[in-house]
Amino acid sequence: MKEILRVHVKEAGYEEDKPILKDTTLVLNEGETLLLVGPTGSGKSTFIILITGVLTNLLYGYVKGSVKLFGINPLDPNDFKVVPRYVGVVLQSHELQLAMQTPIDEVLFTLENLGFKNPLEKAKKFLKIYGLSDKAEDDIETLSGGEKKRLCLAASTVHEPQLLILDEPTANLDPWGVGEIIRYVREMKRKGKTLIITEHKPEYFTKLADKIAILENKTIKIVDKVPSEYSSYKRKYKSVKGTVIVKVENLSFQYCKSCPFILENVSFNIREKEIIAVVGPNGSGKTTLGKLLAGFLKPTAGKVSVFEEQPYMLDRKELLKKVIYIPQEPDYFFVKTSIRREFETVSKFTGLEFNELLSRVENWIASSLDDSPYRLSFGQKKWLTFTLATLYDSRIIILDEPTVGLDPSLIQKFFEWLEHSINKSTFILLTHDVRVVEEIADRVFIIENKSMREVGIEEGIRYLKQPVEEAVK
Amino acid sequence: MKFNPSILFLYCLTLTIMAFLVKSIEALALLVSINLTAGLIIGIRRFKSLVTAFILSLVGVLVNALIFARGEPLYYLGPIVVRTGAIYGFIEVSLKLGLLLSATLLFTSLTNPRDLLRSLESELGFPKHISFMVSLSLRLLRVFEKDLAEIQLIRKSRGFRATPITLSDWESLISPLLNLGLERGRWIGIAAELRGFSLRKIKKTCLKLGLNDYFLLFLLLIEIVFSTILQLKS
Repeated sequence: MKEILRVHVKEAGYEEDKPILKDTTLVLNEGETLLLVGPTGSGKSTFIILITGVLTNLLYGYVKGSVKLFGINPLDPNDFKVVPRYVGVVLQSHELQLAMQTPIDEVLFTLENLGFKNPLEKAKKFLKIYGLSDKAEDDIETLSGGEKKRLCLAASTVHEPQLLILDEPTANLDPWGVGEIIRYVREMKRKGKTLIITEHKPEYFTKLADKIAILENKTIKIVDKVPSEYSSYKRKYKSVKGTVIVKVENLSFQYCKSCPFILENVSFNIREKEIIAVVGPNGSGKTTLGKLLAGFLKPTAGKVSVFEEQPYMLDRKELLKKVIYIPQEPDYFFVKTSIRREFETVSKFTGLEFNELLSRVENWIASSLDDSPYRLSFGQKKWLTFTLATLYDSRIIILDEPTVGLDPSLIQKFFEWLEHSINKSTFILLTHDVRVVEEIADRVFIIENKSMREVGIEEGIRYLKQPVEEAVK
Repeated sequence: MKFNPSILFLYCLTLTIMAFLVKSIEALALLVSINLTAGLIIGIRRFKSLVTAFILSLVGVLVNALIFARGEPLYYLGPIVVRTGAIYGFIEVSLKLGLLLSATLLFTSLTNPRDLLRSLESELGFPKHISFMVSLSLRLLRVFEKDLAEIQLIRKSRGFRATPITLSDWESLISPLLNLGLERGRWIGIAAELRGFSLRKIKKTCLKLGLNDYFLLFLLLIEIVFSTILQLKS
């Protein structure tokens, strides 16, 4: 079998003497699928940008060792230029890699770069394969998360490279989107493509992987099977039947008069000290519901009451005492350029002493006060948003996709944090993650086709698991 | 209405340069009345926040003019003395900003990143990296609008006003915007390189002009001539 990739790296990283990867040796042959797993921030994405030459050629990083990719040296500036002829890379965040305004332009951009003849025909063909024909001329910002991910796949693989690298391909996707990605990987494998996949939920790809590697303590090791580091969380907290604090009656919402309704005639109640999971497909209105409950948006019809007051009418300081919303994208939540100043902001609005706030946070946060929150790893950023939100002591905490980007051990820690904070707050989790429903939620709501219904925990689990299980089979 | 992206780019670039060079209020008023009207008609729906930022910046311009401008006192509004220089300065700077806004609205509304990239590199012979940066700004401006709307809402969950007033409010709005913008710029650049941007070959082509482009060039010529006359007169 032809050798596609050979990595022999003693040390690599962004700054000398601060290696992210050490003593790594890896060989990948044609047609093989490599599944790379490892904790949040362990360096999986760094490995991808190392083997494609981005680390040394674009990010001023360093590599002590060698990399051979299709017989060329991607660390060399001249060879780096031809890497795209052989490799298609889909980066983790679809939001951060689309450069054009419409899907057709995005796909054409790759083909034009690589000098393809009749690129329009090929671009249209690929958009059809990825189910985006009808949206070829639409503004990219009007696509759903799943559609954007498919577009990234189309744009990065339209030149039909031999090696496909997918960095966290299922992040932010609903179970149906995850199912599509699993089918896509199977199809590529059938076509004889070589694949490298990094993933926090390895169970999606273990059946398809020929090699499994784990990145731990800065080193990549080939293992026989994924270590079962994730064991189900054992919830200690017992539900209590508290008083109703959120009342939603016949709620309907549309963003403008000519816009379609996102929610129609939605009614439900939430009690004090409950952990609520709201699940549903990408674009079904979960985030909009969260923003309505958080007082960011005014209902088009019907009523939202939080502690018997309409949140959108509350003064910002009053609102903060009652409800806080943590977005999916942690960068949106930060307001200052250092962690210290983030805490000073909390101190200003809560009246709590700075030192008292510090005594309530984890050591790594307290020892990184002068760092910028924007420079943290994704998992650390997420954790900082949870920490900041808790310090406000709001009675209701709404978390949008809280487990995205968290590795299994951080998810366990997140569940512990929820249980620890439940005496002070009620939690509303807008999520696709079946583990939330299975292991921590008191009640589950499904939001779909503009309406919302409460289901039992078992039905909620089935709802989220079925599309993925069908694809994995 | 379709224009050749290169002609549109040259038109808007010239407007931007004129915003810095022209000092005559009459000339600026002429340029703004034509271009801002067109820009607002075409672009206000998509770029509301740009227009809002322009209006907010006028408040800053006014305060600045009232504090720093010199000249004869015209009115006394309590402790504030309104001087002739303040009125003149406010109008001049507002018109200049209005002209910059017009150029931005016209440029961003009437072209798209890919057409612009191809036109700049093939028809005007710009280096591909510069062409890519200019065309990418079109995409980023749209994403910036989305980020801004999202950040404005979420700041309420940190205790800030949705509409910034104080310096701290502004910092809390600008800080995430800048950081997200930098992050996007960096990763879009990396993604473009991984999709073969370095291999991109430029095929030089002649400028293909339609009736609309000739009209735009003619309009630009008239604007330059009249502005120069008015500038020389003042």
